[in-house]
Amino acid sequence: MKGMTDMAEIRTDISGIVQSTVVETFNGMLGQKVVAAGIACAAAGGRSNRIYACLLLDQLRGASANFCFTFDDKLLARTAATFYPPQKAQEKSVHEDIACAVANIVGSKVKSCLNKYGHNFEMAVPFVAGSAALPAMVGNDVIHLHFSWDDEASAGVDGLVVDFVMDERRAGNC
Amino acid sequence: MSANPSTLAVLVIDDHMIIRQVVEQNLKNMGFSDIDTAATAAEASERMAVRNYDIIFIDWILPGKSGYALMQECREDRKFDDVAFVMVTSESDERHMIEALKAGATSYIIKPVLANIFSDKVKKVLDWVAKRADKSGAKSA
Repeated sequence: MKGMTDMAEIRTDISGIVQSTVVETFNGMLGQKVVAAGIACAAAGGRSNRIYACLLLDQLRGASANFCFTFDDKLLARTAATFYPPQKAQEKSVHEDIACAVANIVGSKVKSCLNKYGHNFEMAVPFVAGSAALPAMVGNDVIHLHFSWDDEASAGVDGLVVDFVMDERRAGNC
Repeated sequence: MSANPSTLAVLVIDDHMIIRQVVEQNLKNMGFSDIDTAATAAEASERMAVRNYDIIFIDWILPGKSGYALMQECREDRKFDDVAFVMVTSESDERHMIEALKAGATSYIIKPVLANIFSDKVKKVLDWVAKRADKSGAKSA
């Protein structure tokens, strides 16, 4: 079993799983062309049209992994328009549902990866948070995974950023 | 021989609206037309009390009673002997898959729901439904 001290290796594995699962979920299930745009040092800048979904993986011995998914609402709106009539596709609750569904799928894959290392992580149900309630995802240990999408009007804008941090200390809510 | 999807009643249980939509759309693409949905185990139980379904797509984790627990309960009831349960879940561990199959799942689909995998698995479920119908027919004949 690898200890949480093998953090660098675990973080690399998790980054790969997050990237492949996000791309597979959007391209294969939700009908949107999303590509991994790289690992950056900085978190997403502040913008008003964003939806945040948070996720906490936790195990009894105090190790935890905090995830924050920052979606451009336009990506969620376009996804919603693929599945719902126009009026319903504009509803915020529909966008939040998609955000949490994506976070849930990604989180489950990460949990499975961590548990293959011999850990016993449990995953809480993902939830939507306002920007004021978000954790400060800063510091050298935080990974920022950026994803772009094929919307011309949003060129250069992140469709999604997944920030995550793993810690042996018990962390608070995302 | 496979069962004809257009003749089968289906229930899709998932707490995420988008997953219900994705599953429903995939089923419609395969020729299913009689599709009900439920967001919780309680809602699903209400639906199952008033009509019979041939295939039930069920998420493992639901708010309140889990989909796994609901499936276990159903499997204890002879009424559900010929009903196919398809676990559609994010739980991708082999351990979960084995547990679900032991508890009576007919098939297991890991999210994200990808059209080609979904279709392959559901075709096998249609074979299972047809075989069960043949067996039931032979028993009652």
